Amino acid sequence: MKNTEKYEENGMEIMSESKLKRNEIKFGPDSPHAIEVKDLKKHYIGKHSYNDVKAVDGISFYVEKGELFGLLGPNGAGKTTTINMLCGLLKPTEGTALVGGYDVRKNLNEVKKLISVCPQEAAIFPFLNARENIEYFGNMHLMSKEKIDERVEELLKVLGLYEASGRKAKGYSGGMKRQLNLLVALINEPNILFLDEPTVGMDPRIRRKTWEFINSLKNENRSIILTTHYIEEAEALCDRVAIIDYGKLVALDSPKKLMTEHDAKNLEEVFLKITGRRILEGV
Amino acid sequence: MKGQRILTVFKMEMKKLIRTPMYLIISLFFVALLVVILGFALGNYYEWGPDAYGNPRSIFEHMVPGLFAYSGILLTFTFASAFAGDRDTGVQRRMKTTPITSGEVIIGQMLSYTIIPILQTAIILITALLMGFNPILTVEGVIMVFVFMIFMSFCSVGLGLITATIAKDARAAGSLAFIFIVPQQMFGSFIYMGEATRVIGYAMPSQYVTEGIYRIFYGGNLTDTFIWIDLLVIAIITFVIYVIGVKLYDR
Repeated sequence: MKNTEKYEENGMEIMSESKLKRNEIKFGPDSPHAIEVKDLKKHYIGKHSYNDVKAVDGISFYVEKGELFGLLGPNGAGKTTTINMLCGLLKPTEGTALVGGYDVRKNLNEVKKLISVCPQEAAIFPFLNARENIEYFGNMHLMSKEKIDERVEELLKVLGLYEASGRKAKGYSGGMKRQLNLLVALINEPNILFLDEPTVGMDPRIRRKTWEFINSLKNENRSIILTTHYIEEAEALCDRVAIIDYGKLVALDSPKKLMTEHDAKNLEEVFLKITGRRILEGV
Repeated sequence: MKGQRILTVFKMEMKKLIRTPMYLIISLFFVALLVVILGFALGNYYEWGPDAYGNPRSIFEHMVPGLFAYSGILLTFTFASAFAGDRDTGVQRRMKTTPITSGEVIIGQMLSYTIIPILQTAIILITALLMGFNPILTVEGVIMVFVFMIFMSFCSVGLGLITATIAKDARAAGSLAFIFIVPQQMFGSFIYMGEATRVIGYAMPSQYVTEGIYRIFYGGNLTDTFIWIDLLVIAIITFVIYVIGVKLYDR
């Protein structure tokens, strides 16, 4: 609990700093927000109507520039589908999604220059070492060799992977692979970062360290969308959270406001009240 | 098209091959081993008669051009397994969130697969010569054989790409690759099943490589129009296979 308070304190300090810096951020042609989603839908049509799946069913929200925005929901709620649509891996069935001011349907190449994704699974080359994995994705973004070298050094030190950076990733522990997965996403210094359950499978010590690291990213003016099953993670890190259930947005506000509104001690209680009630009501 | 990205994919593919010894051994030495076995077993049998130019040839020598093609065919397995493996780890999905294009990915991979056939061809040629293979050797001819083998490998990489995009995972891709490998092995490489099956062979890309290499080694004359026709046909087949492969990959 004390740790959470500490993070909250840090969060407050960082928020005030980052608010100052947010004004300096300029990317995208016309959007005032980092991400704007309007009535976004992803429907899968089955052979029979009972096989149809409304993975995402008309959600709307925005993410401010420099904000850490949490996307919460039970398994299969539509979190990853939403992220996949925002980073161009899936085409939306309907609706609009602007990322960095660019429409993901029309200007995907521009979107890809602004974003980076840390996927749910450890998407790294097992036969490459940590350094080579990070360098590989730096080259995908056409960074100069000097910049890549400088950035790789920084990143490897920040989460303590430096010592193991010469070893092939297939020999890493699960936690180390997850850390590398996150570091790879940061090589191009993205304006907008998608973190899809970045701390799954990490032990509590590494998870705490990763939280601190994610928190520090807010200081670097990045807009971050974080999906997680660890509600305390969202409570500690996020400026605002959206709760998705059955593909619909069922709550959106700062963790504190949500707790006050639902008369709950913590965000987990809010989460259970909202999603649990929907389950009980058979919605 | 950005050279930096293509070069990065190329280097990564090379590291993958070097650091995954099973792929490298299959790619480089399996057919050479077959050459040794067939050389010992069939090097002194002449039942298949002389070559098309009237020179006496052992069964082993008749088989050698097809063995070159066969080594290229096997790349379908190597590539399909490796490519599907990248998909299984989620790396390919991740790459699709970066600015790299499908074309850059495919070209990077194609380039990396020009190194293997060069090594394969050299190893097989040296092994075959040691086992009694006696072709008409000219510098231009050998260079032309390398060109044929590079096209054969491009074609196999394309077939591997199709296989990997259809298969659910790396294991399935490895098995599925044999849909393309076995018919080419039987009808378009070193196995002679009589004139009747020759027609079927013309539906196989490897048949054109086998015939082209046969004409180069036994005819010894690069002005032979059929050599260039064979090369053109394999180039066209490769192009078509790539178009299909890239479409499937994008999907």
